[in-house]
Amino acid sequence: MTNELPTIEAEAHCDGPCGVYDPASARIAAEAVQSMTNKMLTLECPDTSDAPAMAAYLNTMSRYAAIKEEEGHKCKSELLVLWTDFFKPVHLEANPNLHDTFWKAAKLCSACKVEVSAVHAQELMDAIEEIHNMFWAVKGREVAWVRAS
Amino acid sequence: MSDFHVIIRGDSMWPTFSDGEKVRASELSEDELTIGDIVVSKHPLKSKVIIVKRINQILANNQLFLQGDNPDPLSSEDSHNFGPVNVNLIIGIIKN
Repeated sequence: MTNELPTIEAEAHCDGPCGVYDPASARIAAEAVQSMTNKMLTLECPDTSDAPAMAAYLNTMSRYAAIKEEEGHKCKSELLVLWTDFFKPVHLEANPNLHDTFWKAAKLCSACKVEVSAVHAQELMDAIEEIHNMFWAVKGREVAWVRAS
Repeated sequence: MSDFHVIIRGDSMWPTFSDGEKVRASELSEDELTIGDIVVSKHPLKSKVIIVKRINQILANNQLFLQGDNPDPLSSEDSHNFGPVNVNLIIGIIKN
């Protein structure tokens, strides 16, 4: 009998733009960090007595480092927005390792800024892939993990 | 007083109600609102939107302060955002 009652929908939504979050922004920043890290590790130092070559080398290396720093910071900011704004207590039920995953990912952003580490850059990408999977599972959608590079 | 069903959309009333849950509500009768009641209301700033929240305070001039149950401060658009709601916007009460 109760199924014959009229039915309405009532919204119980959050106050923010919860429909437009996407871990892709963190992934793109992390890819830039990884790209700059690899470029720094493979850039060959010229003859130190060749002043123009050294100037070009230092300029290029400085730009790589600056971009790595900037993108590492951006990646951490994007992760913190997902962690503290998008994910809610209800999501911990399905993702009990959510806090640990984000905490480690944020630490890896810092590690990638401090170091020139291909290992940590890859670990950051792996952590963001894990976050990507948690995020889209919460949204109830299957979204493939892709890289721009 | 007639009853109706409400399908919850969103997590602002979690853990009391989950997204997609179907609950039973009753049309409002005079003078029955008390603090702690979960109510179905028209949104004060979006005339076509129906919301479900809990009465946190009963204020002067027939104003109600509504809020979600979710403890996350970003989880609920409620009177913290849109201010108190006049009692004449209340459609019904959900009976737990």
